[in-house]
Formats: sequence, structure tokens, C-alpha cells
Amino acid sequence: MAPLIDVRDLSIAFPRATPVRGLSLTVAAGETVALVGESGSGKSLTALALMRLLPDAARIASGEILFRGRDGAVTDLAGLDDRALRRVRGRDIAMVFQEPMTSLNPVLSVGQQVAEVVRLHEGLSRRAAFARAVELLDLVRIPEPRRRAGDYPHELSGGMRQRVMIAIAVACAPRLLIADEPTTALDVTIQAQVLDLLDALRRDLSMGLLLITHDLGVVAEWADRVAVMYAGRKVEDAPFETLFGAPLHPYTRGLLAASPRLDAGQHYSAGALAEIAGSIASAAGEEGCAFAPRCPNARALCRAAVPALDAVAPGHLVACPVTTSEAQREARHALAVG
Amino acid sequence: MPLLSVENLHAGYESGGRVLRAVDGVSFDVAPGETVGLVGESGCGKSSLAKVIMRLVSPASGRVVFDGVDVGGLEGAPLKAYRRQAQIVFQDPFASLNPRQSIADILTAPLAVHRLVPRRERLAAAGDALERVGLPREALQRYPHEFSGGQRQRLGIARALILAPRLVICDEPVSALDLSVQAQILNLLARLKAELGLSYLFISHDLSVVRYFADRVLVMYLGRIVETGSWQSIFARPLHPYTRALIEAVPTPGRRRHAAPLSGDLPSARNVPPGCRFHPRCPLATPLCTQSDPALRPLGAGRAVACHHAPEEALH
Amino acid sequence: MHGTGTLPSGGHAANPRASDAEDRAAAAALGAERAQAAQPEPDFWPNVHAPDAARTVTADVARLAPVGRRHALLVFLSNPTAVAGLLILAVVVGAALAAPVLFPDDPLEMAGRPLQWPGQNPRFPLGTDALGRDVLAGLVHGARVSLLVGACATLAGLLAGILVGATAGYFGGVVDDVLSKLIEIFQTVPGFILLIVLVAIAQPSVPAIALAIAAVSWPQVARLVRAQFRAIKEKDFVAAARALGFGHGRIIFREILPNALPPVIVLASVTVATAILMESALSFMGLGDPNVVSWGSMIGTGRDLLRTAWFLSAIPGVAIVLTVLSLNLIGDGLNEALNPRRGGEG
Repeated sequence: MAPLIDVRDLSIAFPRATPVRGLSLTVAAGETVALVGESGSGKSLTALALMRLLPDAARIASGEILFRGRDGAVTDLAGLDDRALRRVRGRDIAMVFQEPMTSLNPVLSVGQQVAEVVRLHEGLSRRAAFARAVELLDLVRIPEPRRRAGDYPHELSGGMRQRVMIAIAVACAPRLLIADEPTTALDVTIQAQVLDLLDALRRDLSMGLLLITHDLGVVAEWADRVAVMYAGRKVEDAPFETLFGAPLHPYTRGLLAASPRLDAGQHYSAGALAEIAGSIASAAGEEGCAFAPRCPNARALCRAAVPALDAVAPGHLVACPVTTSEAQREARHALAVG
Repeated sequence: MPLLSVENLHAGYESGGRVLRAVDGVSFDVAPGETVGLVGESGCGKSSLAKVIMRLVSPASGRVVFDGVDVGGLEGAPLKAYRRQAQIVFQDPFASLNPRQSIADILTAPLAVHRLVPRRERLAAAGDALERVGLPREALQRYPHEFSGGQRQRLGIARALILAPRLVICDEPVSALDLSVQAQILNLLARLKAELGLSYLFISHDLSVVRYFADRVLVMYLGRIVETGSWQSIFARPLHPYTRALIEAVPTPGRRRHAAPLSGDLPSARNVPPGCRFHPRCPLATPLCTQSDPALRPLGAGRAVACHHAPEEALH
Repeated sequence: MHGTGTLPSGGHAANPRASDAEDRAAAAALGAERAQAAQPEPDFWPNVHAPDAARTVTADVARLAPVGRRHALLVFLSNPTAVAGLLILAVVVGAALAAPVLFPDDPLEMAGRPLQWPGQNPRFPLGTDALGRDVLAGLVHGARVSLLVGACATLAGLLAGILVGATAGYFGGVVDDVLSKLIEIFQTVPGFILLIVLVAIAQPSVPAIALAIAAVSWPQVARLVRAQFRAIKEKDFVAAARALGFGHGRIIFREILPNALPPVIVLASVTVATAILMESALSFMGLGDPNVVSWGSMIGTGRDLLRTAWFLSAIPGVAIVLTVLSLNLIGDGLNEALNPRRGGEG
């Protein structure tokens, strides 16, 4: 199936830095793709670039953002002007941010804010838009939506505010929903509710969902495919079963080993957690693989050139020459033995 | 004898003219060398509890007994002496270090205030403290902004340990850190505990981290402790419906797209429900729960639970 | 004579957090990421090449360039208007310091024929007034008085304002209520009226005028310091200091005050300018110290001859304008250099 959005070789540049380099990414309709990375990896900038909401100092230095519209026509969002973009934003692609308090206007009731979006994109009357707003609040499972529509953002809890943001995002049944750390500010029981809701909406509206997160548990439970970013580049891309079952990139492996898990038997008294030495800051100014300074398997070739993304299996891309050659050797060996 | 013993502690703060009971009748012990994990969601009172134990806030009633001494009413020199014994590591590595002081200033000031080390040896002691947390002595000359988040958290730990305390309260020490750095800090805390024989009260909202790092776990909900037990038993067989829901809410590989275990919102200390505090969100609630507030009931084998519907005996 | 040296610990003005966020490669990218991240996420410090692992760190951290106050100085010096302000002020301070050497005679004594226009007589480049006094000598000696009053008044105002504001903000509660009321009382009385009353009660001398101006300007400092203290005392590093058993004095002066100072320093530069204006206004009205020449009194005595010898009022007037302007330009420059919101944050 043709992807809904096809990002090709995207680079985002600031005057003195290029925090995202050569990123390619696809999301199909009805698919949940997780973009995983720690702070400084460029994942949030990527999300903003897809919405063409980059900060003033940043620009798309190269690459295409091909988006398939409702009529099947493909447009390159990277080249659209402001007016054309406004038609896409909110209607075809919508976004949910991490901090719902700062994303909502404190002096308007939440019902008004949802209604405003509906009026803007669908040209409904004031009354019809408000009725639709109440329906949307109901859709995002806010109890007593008619009464809640009159509430102001500060009267709602964090979880409720995030639901309102989601209602605004899905008001026009977008084709693609980008959720940037949608549950990071929320408590664990509320996080479960919000993820559950996002997933139900993805299914019911057959949206593509691009989930940007640093939480591997969230990824494991809700994503169909996972792209792992490190210091501005994609280092691994795989279906979730492969990524969690047989991760190949040393960074992905390191992350999985370093995270304490509820279902695993680790305890501090029995031994230390696996560590990834150092921090992402060591990537600055690195010529070759950005992870090389922290990588236990780093060789001379890692520092010589930026490793290319190789397909080691259908749908499984890894940017690590050391692992890839090992994987191929093992595959050959298995063949020879078999 | 426990190192720290909290007995029926109440504490709160004023907000909008009303007193909020952030900590509402909490009792527990921390034994020497033990790591007690305190887990709960935001607003449950876990950070307020830390502040009361540290005497940054005075308790409204109840006792905080450290090494046999009630520290609740201490002032002056005895309070200062207590400060040497109990220290705290904060969550936000960007707010917990004074941006205008060099690392040398930050680490030598406690030694000067407590007159622990002669003046000329203080810098050396601060350097030792840095090396203990895995930072080079050269860092003494630097300022906090020159360090990454993980490095700053190491500095916060070095400062907490410079007075050689026996109890360290870790208030969400890894919550603000990236995953790859979290493990480094947890390993560091574990190593320091072993080397220095520390006791930790380890506060976190992250169940996976508490499961890894705690010997014993306290689950807190709306100012109360609702369940306690060893880490093995709590996670293997949670008895309180809230503990169960918390564990179930953590997204875990191998469990795809399961429904949220709890509906409803987090309650606020402004509006404590009558009867059992958890009953409006509880799947097991009966009319009894709406009327009567369950006490924390010991079940043997170190388990205790505050629920009318928990089994009478802990299975072990 | 103090000139600009009156600001307490001006050297500590630099804000380390402000500075590093600037200038560095991916700092802008960080700003963008953090704009979305309300949570205190760990930072991306491209200057820190050091990994934070236990073993490999040593050499790399040692390589770091010390930034901070030096960087704030650079920001200040790369600002052309601030440098212009600094140059003007330097000329005024230089003239004030050199006054006894350049014009050893009393500037209030008759020096030549009255009412000579500037340029008329090479001995008096800026002319003479109705009593035959040298205008240039008066201008240079007047700079001493203006700067002295401005500096001393600001210093005293800062001292009082910081003490009251810090006490109110740090302790809170009843102490804060009482001190806040006190600040409010001073602020409800119109400043200049209060100043005139105070000077009229005391004898008009330079110290009395400086103290009276300080009495009018401290409440603004106190309010600012109080607000800063209330915000900063909630920070975790202050909680840490309390948990470490530090006394109140140490927490106030070592932990909080250095962090509260940058906006106070900016305010101080403007307060010096205001004090100079107030002194001039007092002297103009004849309420100044009669034993010294000041710019205000020069304008005052030149007032009667405004039609025939306007230069007598205009020359000291220009001196006041330039000095006040230079201080305001310096204030703007300091604000720019010390403001922690500059750079890629939030």
C-alpha cells in the first residue's frame, strides 16, 4: 500500500548546526509508527518539520515530505507556500503536543476552542460548531461533555486537557496524527487511558499515527513499526516484534538492556543494569557514526564515514556496518549448515 | 532498631485559604542499609513526605524518629546535627545546583558550615567526593551549566554525600534523565549504597525503576500508604486494587494494546472522597467502601494493605 | 569619587545559563526541542564532549572553555549602543576626576569678564556667566557633584532596598506583610514631593541630598529584590542548602542574592540616571548645596538670561542629557547581556 506520508532524505538546518540529517520515514494509513530517541536526537524537530512549524531559525535544508491527500494526489509539503499549508494543517495532518496546558488558550472555554477549529475548517455555523464540539469531547471520552465544554483549561486535569487537545486534533478527521510525547507529562494510569484513546481513534478514523516518544514501553505496546533516532539520524527501523525481539543496532540494544522492566527479573541486589557509557553530547562534531564514541563495538571504519542504512531483512534497516556484516555472516553460516 | 521511623505523620500546606492534607497519617520504617521505594502518582503526597522527613516543612502532627530521636521539633544545633545524617537528592538536575557557584563552592560549603574538615583539606575532600561519583577532580573549577543532565545529577549526589549521611532521600532522581543515562545513575546509587552502607528512601512514579531498585515498596495514594511489602511480593502479587492497576498501567513489551486498567481522573487532596479514598476509581468498590475508611492492615510476611476486600492472609 | 564603581559585585553579573545557550552550534536546535518539552529534560550540551561515564571523562572535561561572566561581557561589548554609553560615561567620569587638576581654582569665584560667549575668549572655551565664572570649570566640577550624588544615592538605595526586599522575600509571612506595607507607604507618596520635603527639613548638603534621593529610590529596588527572592527561594538548590544545614544569612547572601542581582544591576544603572536628574532638579529649584557648583544650579542661575545668553542653561543641560542617556544605554546593554532568556531557551 502506498504510504500516507513519505519523508525522503530530510535534513533540518540551523545557521550553525544540522540537527536532523538525511531522515527517511513512511507512515501508512491505519499504521502506528513510533519515532524513538532521547533528547537531542532530533525527533521533535522532525515532527515540527512535517507540520512545517519549524522555529524561525530552522529550515528544511534538503529532502521531500510527500503527502498523499484524500484525492490520492501527492504533494511535497516541503515546497508548499503558507496558504496551501494552512489548508493541510489541522485538516489533513494534525498534531498533539506534550504539554496540554501551554497549548490551550487560558481565556477561552474548551468547547469554544474545539468549536473554533471546526468552524475554521468546515465552515459550520456557530451553533452547529458548538454542537459538533460537544460530540468531539464525547468522542475523546470526556464525561459529561456538554457541561465540560463550558470549562476553562485551568479547571481541567492534565489528562482531561490532553483529551481536549486530541479532540481539537481529530476535529476534521485528519489522515495523519502526529503525537509528540503525548503522555510524558501524565501519570501512568492516565497515560494508559490516553494511549488507549489515541489507538481507538486511529482505528476508527483509519488515521496514520506518528508517535514520538522516548518511552520504550509505550512503543512496545502501541507501535506497529519503530524508527530509532540518534543524534539526528535514523539508526534502525523495524517492525516492533523485530525491534524488541532481535534488535541489531548497538544503540537500540543498549537502550533495551539499560531500561529496567516490570516483567524482567532484574534487581539491583543481583547485579548492575547494562549501561551505555557517556551521553549523546559526545556525538557533536563526530565525522563517522555519531554513536561510535559510546559504542562497545566501534571500529576504525565506524569513525571514517557515516554508516548507510542497510536492509538486513525485509522492513528491517540498520545503520551499523559492524552488525550488518556479522548478521550476514551468520545468515551465510546458517545457510551453509542448513 | 530502624534508622528512620515515621509514625502517624500528618502534614499539609495552605492553598486558597484551605489546608490541604498532603500527608495524611503515614507510618513506616527504614532499616539501616535498606532501600525503601515509595511509589505513587502526582499529588499523592510523596514529595511532601520527603520534605517533612528532611524538615524542610514541619509536620502538623505525628513523629519522624531518626536513630531514636524525634526530629519533628528540633531547632538549632540538634537540627543541624540531624542534617548531617539525612540528605536529599532532587529530581531536576537543572534547578538543584546554584548556577552562580563553582562546583568547588557547592561541595566545600557544607564542610565549612558543619566544620567537618580543616579549611586547607576541604578542596581535596570535595575532589574525593567528585571521584566517588565518577567525575574528575578538574570539575571543581567548573560551573553547573557546563555539565550534562546526567553529570549534574552526579554532582547532586556528590553534594548529598559530602557530609557522610546515613540516610539519603532520593526524590525522583532519574525521572528527568534520558534512558541511557538513567541506568548509569541507578548503578551509581547502588554502588554508593554498597560502599558506604547507605539507606535510601527512593521516591519515584516509575514502577519499573522502583521494582529494580527497592528492597521494600510503599504504595501511596492521596496522602496515605495503601500497600507495603517486599519488592518480590508486591510485584508478584499486588493485593490492593490500586497497586494492581498501577502495575497493569505500565506499558510492557509482550502485551499489545490492552485497555487502560483504571478509568477516572487522579483525585486531588483538595477533595478527599469519604470512606476509602480509592473507591470512586476502584473496580471492587462496595457500599462498605463508600462509608468506612480501611486501615493499613498487616497480613504477615511484611505485607500490609488498606483495603476491605484484600485477602486475610498474604500468600507467600 | 566612585564613578561607575558603585554597583555591588558587578563582576558577578554574568549569568552562566544565559551565556552558554547562545553561541553554540546546536543550542538553537535544543531550544526548539525544549520549546515542546515542558518537562525538564536533560540537556544537549554540545560544549560538553565528555560522556558522563565514570572512567573516560577526565581529559574531556578539563578541555572545556570557562564561559559565563566572560561571555556576558562579550555580549555587552559587542553591543554598539552600550559601548557608546560606556564611552560617554567614561568621558564624564574622566572630567570629574581631573577637575581639581584642570581647574584648581574654585569654580564659584569670578574668573574673568562676565557673559563672554563660547569661543569669544580662548581662556574660556565655553564662555563665562553673569558673575564672570568659567562655564567649563563649572561643568567639570559639576560633574563631580552629579556623579557623586548619583552614585552615593544609588548605593544607599540599593543597600536599603536589597536588605528590606531580601528579608521580606526570604522570610515571607508576617515579616513580609509588614515590610511590604512599608514599601507601599513610600511608594504612595509622590517621589519628588517627598524629596523636596526631606531636603527642606535637613540642611541642603551633598550627603543629605544623596540620602534623601536614596530614601525615594529604595522602594523600587526592594520590590524587585523581594520578587526575585520569592521566586528563587522555591528552587531546589535553596532547599538543598537548607537541607545541608546552612544558616539564613548564608542562604540569603551566598545562595539567593547572586542569582537575584542581574536585574537589580540593570535597575541600578537607571537609578543613577534618575538620581542625577533629581539632584539637578533640586539645584535648579535652589534646594541644592549652595557651596558647590552643580549642573542643576548652573541651569538655575542661567535661567534669567535665557533670551540673551541661552548657552548658560544649554551647556549643562546637554551634559545632563548625555550622562543620563549614557547610563540608560549601559542599562539596556546590561539587560541584554545578563538576561537569562536570551539564547535558545524556552
